[in-house]
Amino acid sequence: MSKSLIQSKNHMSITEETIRHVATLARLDISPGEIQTYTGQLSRILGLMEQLRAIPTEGIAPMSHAVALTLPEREDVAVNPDRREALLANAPDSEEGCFRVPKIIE
Amino acid sequence: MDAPIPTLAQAAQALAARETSSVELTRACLSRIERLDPTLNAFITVDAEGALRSAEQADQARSRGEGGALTGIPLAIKDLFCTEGLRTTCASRMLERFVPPYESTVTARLRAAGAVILGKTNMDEFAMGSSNETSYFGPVRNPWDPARTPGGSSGGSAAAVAAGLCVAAIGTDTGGSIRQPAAMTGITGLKPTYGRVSRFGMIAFASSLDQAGPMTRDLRDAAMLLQVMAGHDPLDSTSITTPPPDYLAALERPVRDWRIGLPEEYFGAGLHPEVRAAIDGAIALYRELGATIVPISLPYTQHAIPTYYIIAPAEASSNLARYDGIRFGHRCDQPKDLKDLYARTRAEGFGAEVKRRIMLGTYVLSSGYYDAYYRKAQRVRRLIAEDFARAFRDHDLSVILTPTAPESAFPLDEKKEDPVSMYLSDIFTINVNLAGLPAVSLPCGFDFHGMPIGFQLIGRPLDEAAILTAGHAYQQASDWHNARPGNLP
Repeated sequence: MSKSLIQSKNHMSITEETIRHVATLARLDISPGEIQTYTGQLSRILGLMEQLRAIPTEGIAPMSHAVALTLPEREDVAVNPDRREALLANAPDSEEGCFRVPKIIE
Repeated sequence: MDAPIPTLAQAAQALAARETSSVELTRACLSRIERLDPTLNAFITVDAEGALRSAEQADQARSRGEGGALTGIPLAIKDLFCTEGLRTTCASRMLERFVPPYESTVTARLRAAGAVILGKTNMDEFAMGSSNETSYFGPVRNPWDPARTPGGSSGGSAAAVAAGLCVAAIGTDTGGSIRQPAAMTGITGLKPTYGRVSRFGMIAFASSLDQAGPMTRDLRDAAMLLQVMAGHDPLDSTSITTPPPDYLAALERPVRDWRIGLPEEYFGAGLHPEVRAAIDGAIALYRELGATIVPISLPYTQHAIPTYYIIAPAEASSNLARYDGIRFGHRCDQPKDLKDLYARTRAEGFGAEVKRRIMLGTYVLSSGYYDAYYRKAQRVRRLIAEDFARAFRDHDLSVILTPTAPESAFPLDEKKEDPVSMYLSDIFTINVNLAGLPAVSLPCGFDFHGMPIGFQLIGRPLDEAAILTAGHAYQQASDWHNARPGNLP
């Protein structure tokens, strides 16, 4: 993590460097023009979030779902049929029943 | 000018009485789509061949004395539900050529009940938007005024119902995406309790908020569709096991002596005076019907927008990580290595609003910010949910009544370049998603420009029956839901 990212306590002034870092994390190729646009827009959106800081939330349990969930269980039997052909039909590139990707190791 | 498209209840009755056939009804919808959709752009994919085939099968079933409430009814489905063998794009370039190898539970249930699927409706890309302008396939236009938005994200489904391109439609609602377009197009749109309808086969946006629901002419049609859609599904781990009640029976109850809550926070300065006047009319009608109007307060209301726009993009950034150009969807040309493949595929495949939300979500989940933003928002989410629970309990309420949106349908392009003002248009709907409650929007008037206005009824968890009762009682005593756009060619 870059130093400036951790130190940018005032989120109204989110930096272009932060935007570049976030784009890398999100695996998004962004142009210099987009960096500028997102820097301004995300600063304004994050400005909207600042009001939450003032709300006392000590002792309030984070709510991750709208309904109280218990993990449902089912019998341990395989239910997925062999659908290799159907699943590969949407692949951008495939060969011999496998997804094909560019070479990743030199 | 051809005959108007009937409501679902009327169509079902006419089909049962053999006064019409599903093929005839389906052809009528297809011919209206052919004539009106070049203007409205409500559909991304029209499956005329498949629809007519299903219609013939439905007619054959009926002639054998088989079939149920939906047998032969032509529906439009938001292009976010996977339909086996029928292209499903989520209005994104990323999925422009995606043909699902499986069927969503919602569409499977509708098909099993005999419904005819006319096609897949336009929407904001990955359901991210409030005006339908983020669609890769261009904006949907409002049948009441083609220069205006039909709302979003289920704007195609809303416009298709309002313009009579289908008998009814299915939408999804993560922050108001069924209710806000319903209000802006003068139709009825219902978001069930989170978990009431299976999410299996719905393309995920924000998994703790997404919920499917009916978009119809009136509450009776909504009850008929909900009856088929609702119910436990072992393929969705968040699906509720409580069996749904008889929704049509719920329509017949009176609202005399019901207690209806009116939260003061929803009637502040941001509410357009013409919307306010229409809502006041709805409140007056409930008084006439014998209901008691109870002033209440939901103090955390004002924090819903920042809370939602942290939680929803956070979940979206995680859900949309699956679009990597490997297994399905778009892939960039000539990637030089794997990183380049990911980054350019996603840059090319996603539109500006989707990228903005992925960036926002990635930021609030990133190291050093997780507690300050994401955890904080999850805690405030609980306070928002407790607001509703307390109000229902302390005031012994059956439903809560609010405006659906602060204003009526706005002109296309008005908010397109300003994400913050676009996000603020969800102010009255997103609280309900954060709390997981059922809610419905139904028409209650028009503004000076002739644009429809809607109000919202919110129920207790799992109590869709209450909002159906209250909404139907209103529609029995009013006529707004019968109005049709008059300026269509």
